[in-house]
Amino acid sequence: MPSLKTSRKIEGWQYNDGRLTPVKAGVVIEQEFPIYVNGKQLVTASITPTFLKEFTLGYLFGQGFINSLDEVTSLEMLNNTAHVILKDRRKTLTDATKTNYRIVSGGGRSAYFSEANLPEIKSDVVVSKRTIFSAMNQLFRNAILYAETEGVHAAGLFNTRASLLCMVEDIGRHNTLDKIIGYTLLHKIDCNRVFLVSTGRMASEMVTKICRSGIPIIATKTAVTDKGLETGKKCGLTIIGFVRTTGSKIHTDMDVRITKKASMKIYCGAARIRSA
Amino acid sequence: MESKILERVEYIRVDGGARAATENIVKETALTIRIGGKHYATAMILAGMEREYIFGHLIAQGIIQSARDIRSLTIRNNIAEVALIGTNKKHQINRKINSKLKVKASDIFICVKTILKSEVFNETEAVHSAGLFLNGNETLCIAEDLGRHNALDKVIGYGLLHKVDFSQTVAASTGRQPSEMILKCRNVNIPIIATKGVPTTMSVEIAEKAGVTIAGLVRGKNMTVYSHPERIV
Repeated sequence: MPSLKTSRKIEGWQYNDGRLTPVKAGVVIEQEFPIYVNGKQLVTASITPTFLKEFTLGYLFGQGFINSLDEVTSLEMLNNTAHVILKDRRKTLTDATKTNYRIVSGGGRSAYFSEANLPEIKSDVVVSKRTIFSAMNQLFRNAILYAETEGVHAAGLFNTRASLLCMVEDIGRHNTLDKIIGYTLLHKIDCNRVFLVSTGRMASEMVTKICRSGIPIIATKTAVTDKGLETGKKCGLTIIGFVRTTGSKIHTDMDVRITKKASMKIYCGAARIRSA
Repeated sequence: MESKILERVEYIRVDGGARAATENIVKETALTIRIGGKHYATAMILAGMEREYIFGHLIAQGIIQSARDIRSLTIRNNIAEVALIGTNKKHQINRKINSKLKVKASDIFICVKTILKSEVFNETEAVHSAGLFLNGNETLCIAEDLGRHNALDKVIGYGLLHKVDFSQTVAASTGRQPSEMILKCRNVNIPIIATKGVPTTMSVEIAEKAGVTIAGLVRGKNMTVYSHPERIV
């Protein structure tokens, strides 16, 4: 697969000291990416063009259109468009009685299959808080596109020894999860034995995607919403928010706050986190 | 009284040790929008300004062209029933900004600073804000939401309901600006969008073509203008 570009320098103007001067600004690439299922268009995603196969499968899985890779006969990429053929060739997923549109907080309209039921997470994985902090540090250290553009979300998949299995960056936080979950499907990763780290807020749709994948732990740099928490509790997910490692930076209006002491907030499923 | 936007929850704070604590987190509200009796979409929003949100969303998406295209809107139990004025003519979406607005850079900084003063954000660090400013120096409306798209829809809806001349306004946002945010501004003829965040390649392309000024990374005393700098003086 050719290496895909994720950012581009564009001509902008920098304002300082009362003047506008020309500047080259690194900007993240956003691209329209249509997905066709059994010959019919399901959705057009707005994404950063990496992990397109993973994204397609992860999206179909996360929204409840497929339950496993076995339901997919073929997946082809033509001109930045995904063409998916399902085993059930009659399924077009645009049946009005079953497909709904939801406007998610990350923006855009998202099609979902309303009959999808969420499984209970049964994983007995336990990780230490040090492992969580280490994973968050690695996520930021590897966030190259963020360093170039300041305009992306990141998500990383780790094993219980805090080794990075897969990391993605994208303009949308939902897209980062779709790509990672697609990666677990394609590479047959046992989701019961891994955990996720993200930069995004855990609103209901984000948590729903994670619960569907069976990944038992999500740790994010930021917040969780009431519906996200409710879904997480119901499925037995461990949700950790506001993971702030020592030295991490938060941009405020005028200055940058630097965390002096590492901390995190465990909202549910605390039994999976060891304090040592 | 129970808050519609905040919920008290228990959590375990882990730093040196671990201890139980409580705090407020934001609530998501599922607002179902039905048009002419048919399900259009369910939006996950922060409660408040639902009317503005619906008007703003429908015009920003090109479903309606003016407030008059909506015959009635009733919201009950988070279900909104929208009736449109029946029309046969195809909607013409605005593709080019028509505005002579010029705004001082110092006002752009103030616009972005103004929307950053959010009590909900200070408490939860989990909401986006958007604002609409007449001539870049008069605050018309500030809205908050879980999503930056929704926050922008709310202030656009406010403008629509209050007959604001969008060609004389600056929109401000706390978030990143992918293409859809710029399209919303273009569709209602807002000439300038200012944000603490950054745009994408696609949004800069759209802004260049449509004539939208994007001022990004508006922080402290610096900003980067990504398109049509002539409006900033």
